[in-house]
Amino acid sequence: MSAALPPDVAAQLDGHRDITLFCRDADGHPIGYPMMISSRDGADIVFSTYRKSAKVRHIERDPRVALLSFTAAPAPDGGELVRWISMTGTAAVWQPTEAELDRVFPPAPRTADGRVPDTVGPLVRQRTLEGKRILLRVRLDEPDAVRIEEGRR
Amino acid sequence: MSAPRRGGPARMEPAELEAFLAEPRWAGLCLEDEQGRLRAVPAWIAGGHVQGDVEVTVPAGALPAMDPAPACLVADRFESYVGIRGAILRGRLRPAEAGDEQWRLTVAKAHGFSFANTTVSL
Repeated sequence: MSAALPPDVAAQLDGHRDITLFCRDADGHPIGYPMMISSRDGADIVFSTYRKSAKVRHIERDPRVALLSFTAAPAPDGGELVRWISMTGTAAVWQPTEAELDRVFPPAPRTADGRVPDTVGPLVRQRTLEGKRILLRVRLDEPDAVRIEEGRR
Repeated sequence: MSAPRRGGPARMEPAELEAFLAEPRWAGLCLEDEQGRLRAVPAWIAGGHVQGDVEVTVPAGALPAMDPAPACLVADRFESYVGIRGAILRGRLRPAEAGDEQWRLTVAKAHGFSFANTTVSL
């Protein structure tokens, strides 16, 4: 297990799995993708994606990434409050064995997401074992320093 | 309407993308800071366009004053699997006015995606 994150950061990431992954395109400029966290182990965050996706090519060329998790809600006095976690890290493309996949993407998902059909999880596992999908594992920089920030508009 | 296809998400047609961007929403904004590191912050889009400039508001203090820089803005909506919609806008970000909250992204590349007609074949 990698280093631990502050408890409030870990709770937000585990409770809100939507996140944006940013890497660099062929010109070295930022490019981003909405993702869903598949699993988290300390400061290692794992995603599933297509093996042939553009993001995989970008990350193989330059593994430095940024991640952004945020939630927004109406403020009591008008406007909106936004809470976010901005992180950087290094990504690795990972073709897991079945045993490794069992650990990070269990056959029975630990956290159901009502937005995703039940058929998706088993298909993702199957496609990963077939090599059509892979995992991206991001190890966060300076996990002790990751914090939740707040602002408003 | 995006075209049906197997596998991954379909590319939005320009009119769909324009309509998606017209809805105010929070998005993720990323640029390279002056130390060469990627830096991501939330940004409010009051209503954007595929062509031209997109005005964004970031929380006070989230971004330091800086020269224009390449940036990427990612806006998405995920209320259901087939309801996933998103836009990835890339271009150059610069301050829109004094202070650190108002920024303007001049869009060079725009890409919209939709899971509406995606078969769940993954």
